[in-house]
Amino acid sequence: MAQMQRPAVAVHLDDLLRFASELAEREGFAPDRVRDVELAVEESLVNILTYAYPNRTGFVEVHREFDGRSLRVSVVDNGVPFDPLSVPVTGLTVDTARRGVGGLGILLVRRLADHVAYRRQEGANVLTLTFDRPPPTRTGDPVHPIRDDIMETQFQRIENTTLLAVKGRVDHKTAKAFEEVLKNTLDEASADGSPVLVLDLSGLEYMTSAGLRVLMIAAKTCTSRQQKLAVAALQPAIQEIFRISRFDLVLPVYPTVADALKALSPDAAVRWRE
Amino acid sequence: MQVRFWGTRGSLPTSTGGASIREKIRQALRQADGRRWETDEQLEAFIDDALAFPVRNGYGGDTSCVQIASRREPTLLDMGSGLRRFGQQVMETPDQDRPTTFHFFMSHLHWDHIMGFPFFPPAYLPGNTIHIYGGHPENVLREAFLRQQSTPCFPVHWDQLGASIRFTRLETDRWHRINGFAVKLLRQAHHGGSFGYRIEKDGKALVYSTDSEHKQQDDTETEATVSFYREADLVIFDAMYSLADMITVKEDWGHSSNIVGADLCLRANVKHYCMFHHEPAYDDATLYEILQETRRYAEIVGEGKSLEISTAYDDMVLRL
Ligand SMILES: [Zn+2]
Ligand SMILES: [Zn+2]
Repeated sequence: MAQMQRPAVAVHLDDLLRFASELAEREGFAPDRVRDVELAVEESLVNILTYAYPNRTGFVEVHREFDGRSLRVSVVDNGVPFDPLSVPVTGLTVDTARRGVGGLGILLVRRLADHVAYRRQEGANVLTLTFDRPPPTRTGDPVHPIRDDIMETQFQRIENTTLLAVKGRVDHKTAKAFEEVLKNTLDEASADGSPVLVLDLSGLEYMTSAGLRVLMIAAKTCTSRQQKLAVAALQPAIQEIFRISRFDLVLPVYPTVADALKALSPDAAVRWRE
Repeated sequence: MQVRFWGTRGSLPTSTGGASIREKIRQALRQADGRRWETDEQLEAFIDDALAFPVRNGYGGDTSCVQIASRREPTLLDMGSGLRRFGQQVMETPDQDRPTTFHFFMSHLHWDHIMGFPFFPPAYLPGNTIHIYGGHPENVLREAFLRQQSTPCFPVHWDQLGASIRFTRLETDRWHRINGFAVKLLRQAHHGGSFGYRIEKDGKALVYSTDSEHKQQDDTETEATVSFYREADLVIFDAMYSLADMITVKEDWGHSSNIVGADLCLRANVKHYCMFHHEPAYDDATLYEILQETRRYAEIVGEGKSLEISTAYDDMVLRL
């Protein structure tokens, strides 16, 4: 789980809520839903900024985590104990709440998130908002053009290992997005003390030098942080590209994800199921 | 348009070397396998047809110098050690046909791109005019040549040259008309800056883009390169390193890789991609293998686009 801590003052609001919504965006939440995440987190933060520290400036933290199905965002402060869920919900609709942002904040949060939980823990208020990612809608819409700029990633944490499945095409059109995903994944892995990152490339169909460059940046980051990066399960064409670019000499390449885990993290290898 | 390569090696001239020549002989003899030839023509045909390029020939070791055929006044790109052989050809031309005015476009002023000039006999002949164009300021251009021909680097000093030598800075972002060619420059990433040239004539376009590190880090820069290369008939490209080398140990050394060149040329719908500025450490067999690999790479990522790919060698002639 990655986290961001800032002084509980309004200037940091944007940073903090973007920290949460960015993960939603990256994990493929619809734009409307990403805005819901932002709005809910914003309301939670405004609440803290307004009430948690009446006599001093304290800190506020946002923790974020995606488990493959749901995004969990926790907003943490160690100010005055307050359970926002103790406020009763009556006659509130999301629309009226949107108009009344501020006063109805916490009620709005309960409407926007799929699940809200509060706990007081070690002198801190911890409000956890869960947003479920709906399954991707399959539309057979014939007017929808065939897209060649599709790159998808799927994230999984197994013991000390982060497994990132990369699918589709990584070229000059998608390299920036790929770079961002890899960077964030590595940052999170680093924050969580997860020293091993394995890229499952079995779904990667196409990659040019623009994508290879991103892999190299990730490899350099890993080296500087003493994390281990490996790629696994390359399709034959991608394997050839690795050989031609000499990337097979600078990145550890394994025939299967299982082989990579076995070599880099025996614990994860035991727990991993294909 | 016709292009002749006088020098294609990067950074430093090389020689084939005895071991490599011996290897070529060994392979040729093995290939011949005791065969006999009735005539010289048959022997020549065997050499051409049966022996692979690195066995029957080689890429040569002279540094960057490329000529674009022009009517009266020769037009060249860079003055690497390959310029010596061009100068020799000029001097062997009968008096009445021998050119007296020359046009040189300079990518930049690193040693491997100017070292041929002291060995260019026409520079010593009074009455000749030599135009040297570049993207760098005129005083920077002049200084590089002046230093090269001064003590202790070279015995014949700059002011002892007989020809009239004129330096001209060419601005980027607009077309210039020089010696019948339309010429445009692009600033490239390299130590001290380098310039790519797009040269057009009779509906044909050539791009000379050497000593340039295409990191693909900055979209604006990459897009500028792609549009500079767009639909060119020939792109001569600095493919000095493998991609892995280029972005690890040799990052910021100012050169590109074979597959970055392929990607850029594919995106720009270039007709012919010519690899250039070869790593001095690579022998003929290695360069030949890299050519096969680059073709294979372009086949994989090109998705049906046709891109001709070659590796420049000294004395290669291309017709566009
Ligand atoms: Zn050079
Ligand atoms: Zn240079």
